[in-house]
Amino acid sequence: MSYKTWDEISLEQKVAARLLKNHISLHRLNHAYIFEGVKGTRKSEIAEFFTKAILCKHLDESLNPCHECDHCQRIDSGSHPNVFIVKPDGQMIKKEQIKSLIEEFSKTSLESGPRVNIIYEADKFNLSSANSLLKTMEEPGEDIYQIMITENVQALLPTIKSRGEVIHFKELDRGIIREKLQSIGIDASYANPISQYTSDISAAVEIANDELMIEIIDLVIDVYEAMSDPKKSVIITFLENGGKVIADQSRTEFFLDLMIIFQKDIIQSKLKNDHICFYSHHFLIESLSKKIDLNTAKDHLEKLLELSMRIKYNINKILAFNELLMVLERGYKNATQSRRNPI
Amino acid sequence: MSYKALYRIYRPASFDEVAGQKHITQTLKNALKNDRVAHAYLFSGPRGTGKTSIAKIFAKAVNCEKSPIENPCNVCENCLGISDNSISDVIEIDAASNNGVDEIRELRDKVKYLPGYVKYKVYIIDEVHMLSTGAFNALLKTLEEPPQHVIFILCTTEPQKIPATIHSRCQRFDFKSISNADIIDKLFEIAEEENIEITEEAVKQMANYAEGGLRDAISLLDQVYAYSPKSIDVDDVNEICGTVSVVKLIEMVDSIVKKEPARAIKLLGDLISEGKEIKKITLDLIDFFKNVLVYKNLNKLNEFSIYDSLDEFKSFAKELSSHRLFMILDVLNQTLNEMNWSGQAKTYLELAFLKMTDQETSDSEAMFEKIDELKNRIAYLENNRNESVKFIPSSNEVKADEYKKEIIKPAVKVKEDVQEDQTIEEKEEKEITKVDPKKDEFEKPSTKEKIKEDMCGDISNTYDIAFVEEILNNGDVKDRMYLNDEWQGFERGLVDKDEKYLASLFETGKVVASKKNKIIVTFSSATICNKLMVPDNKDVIKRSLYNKFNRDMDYMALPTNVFEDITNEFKEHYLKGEKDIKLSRIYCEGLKDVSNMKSGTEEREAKIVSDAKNIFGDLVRIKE
Repeated sequence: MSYKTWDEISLEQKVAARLLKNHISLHRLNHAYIFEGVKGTRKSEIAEFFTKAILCKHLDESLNPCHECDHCQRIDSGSHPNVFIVKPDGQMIKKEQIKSLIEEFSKTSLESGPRVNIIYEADKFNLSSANSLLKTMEEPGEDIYQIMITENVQALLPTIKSRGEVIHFKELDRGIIREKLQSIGIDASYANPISQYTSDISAAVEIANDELMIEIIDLVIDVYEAMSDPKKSVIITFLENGGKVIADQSRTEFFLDLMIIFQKDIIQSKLKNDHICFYSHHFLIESLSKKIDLNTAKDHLEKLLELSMRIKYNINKILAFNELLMVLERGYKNATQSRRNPI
Repeated sequence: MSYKALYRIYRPASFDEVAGQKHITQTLKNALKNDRVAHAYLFSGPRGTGKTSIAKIFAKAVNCEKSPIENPCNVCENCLGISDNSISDVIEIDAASNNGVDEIRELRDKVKYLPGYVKYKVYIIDEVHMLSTGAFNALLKTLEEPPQHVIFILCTTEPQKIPATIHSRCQRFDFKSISNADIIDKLFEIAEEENIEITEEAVKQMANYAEGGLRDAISLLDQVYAYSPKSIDVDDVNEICGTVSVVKLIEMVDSIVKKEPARAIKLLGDLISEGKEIKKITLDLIDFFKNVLVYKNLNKLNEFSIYDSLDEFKSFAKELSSHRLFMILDVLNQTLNEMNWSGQAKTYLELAFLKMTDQETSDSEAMFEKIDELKNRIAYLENNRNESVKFIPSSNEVKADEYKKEIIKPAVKVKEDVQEDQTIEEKEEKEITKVDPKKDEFEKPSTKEKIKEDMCGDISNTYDIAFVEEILNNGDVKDRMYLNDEWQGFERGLVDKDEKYLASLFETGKVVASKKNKIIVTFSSATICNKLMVPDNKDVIKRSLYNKFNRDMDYMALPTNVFEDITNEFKEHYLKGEKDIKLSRIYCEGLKDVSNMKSGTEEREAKIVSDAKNIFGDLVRIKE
């Protein structure tokens, strides 16, 4: 699913699209770009599109590449001689890779026209390879353009960063992900929390198609329902179905993140904001939010965040969850009791 | 010719064009003019401060046809040749990719050949910190005594990685980060050359963002120009950098200051959907609150700050207490820290908003005030209690029970006082009335004292009632309150241990009346008063009072109960409408005439005696 026009890109990355397009229209192509943004912002697809726009000789009026000419097709198939791709060799981008790159650029090209070098996962440079790129990066040969793609711009050397033009890719709008999920037939009550959980479309689709993950969303709601019901015990509710949560690390984190989203909904409802994610359960959220004060809700959120940090380490998950749920339950049930018979 | 980035086009061509780094350009210019060029230089400093640029200018200047000359002429064949890289005698080596021993050996071999076109062979070794240890050592000998015609310029961002043996063979120049003022000037200059329309605010924001790297700033200008070619204002810059516009930031700060978490969280949501990074937002908030704090304390701002002209800014500084500012900054800093370790950045910031707008914690300032008040009350109560308890043995013992009751009663009253939160004046009145019931009890022992008065001797030399009269008749309530507020830190500036002890003893007292240069201070026991009234000790205290309040002050130390008696008497007269009230002499069992005493041993002895008297009463006999 690659991009066909600038307009498509601009739906998702308005600023980046406008910048890159202007660079081409004004003939002010910079010699080095650093594409930076979190996972799922489709940086590499945009980089590919941008490469086409640089190399294609048949740009239309709105500067879209034709996708049909010799150049475009060879870029699509990854065999264009003027496009160099560097990917980490194992864990790191090694110095030899950069050396051969520099060597390549010191010669004249096989085919006339601009040359583009795309470096994926540029944060994986090791110290010597990053440093050997510095000089070439600052003053490469004529008509040579570099695009570095990274999820973690902080990990780049400051000297590298200051030599390239950093283009920030913003997180995908949650609305886009939600629409995408709904378009493949996911119910809104699930699509909403999933779109809040991740900004990566493909990951979101994967979750939505996973039975177990959907069950975990149900479990979160069950747990909070048990909190509002004085006859039910939260811990027992959790233990009955929690096995699947504990079994797998990614599921545990998913469960906790959803708990956090739900807790935030309660706070939002307390603050009378209508930005509620679990909208299909808003009655439950409202009734819960009436039972506790803002401070307790805040403490609960803090507790959840703390556990979401700790859960990454090797801890006893069952105990950790029991403790957490006990603390949360106390917040609701004690409050209701004390209201019934004020002492 | 393809497009060149602005920072490559606007590399300075002479020393005078270099932004900042006056200390370096001046030195180099003088060296060139006087023909005292060293054979090896080491340039170090952060990115984008002009190391490579100055190295290139220097290479041109030494080889210029018109040399010795301060600046390269940029018109002669040599200069032009070096500029367009056609003269192979100025050699730029990228040490990062040629960092092995072999490359350095090769260099060493070539060094001995004479230059082809110009006077000097200049080796510019960039990123020199990446050389391997072997390579560094291979370079040492050449660097120490290169042939006449060779100059080395080593450039690096990390001078600490370079061996000391290299350091000591070079003249080292440390490049400073370029100041915002210089960056702003340079950006305006380039904008004018390139016919870019740009607002002043936008330039300031860029300079802020660049953090001292001119290359970053010019790259940014390049980028923003591509983003909106017609004209650039601060919004464009914010959009590109992901920084938050001042207007939005102020709105957010406003919602925090006014404790409206709902609004703050909503604004955050808006900003995030605009594509701002959460971490940047946090950093911007920290920066803003930091500036508020600076403004609050210094009443001025860094002149290149983007906030200066805004009225809201000033009102925030007024509205926020330092306590709350520190609290906010703490919360934000902690949040920033936690963000680094967690994927839940947004939630953490929302939580921070809740914390910052929390009614209870942010009212901590009011809490502190209350605590201070309570402390004062407790100290006051304790003083009273000590006095009364001490009094018991020397007076009628049958009355002991009644005393205890009296002690408890005022304590209850005080609690009510604090809750009612009255103004100080009102409380004062109550204090006096509160004392009243005690007065009857005190009277009896005081009649006894009158009999003993002759035994105690005349103490008017030390405890002169005229002094008290003068102050009470012309009291200054505001000054007294001020002194009590500042009543601490007397030890500061004192060295001697005994003096420090005196100062800390003095600190336990409470100013009860003040008149310009004369004050009355009350203490829990007569012994302390005696000690503090010894002339030598008095001088020490006076000195520390002068240090603290910057004015000469005389004081009289009185036990709390004695002063109460005096105020009662004064009040009686005062209510009758008398003026220039005369009071009866001061008398009290514990007080002594100390006007001739010396500090130190004698005094201590006197203390022992009086302590013994306190415990054993009349049974004490003193033998010389």
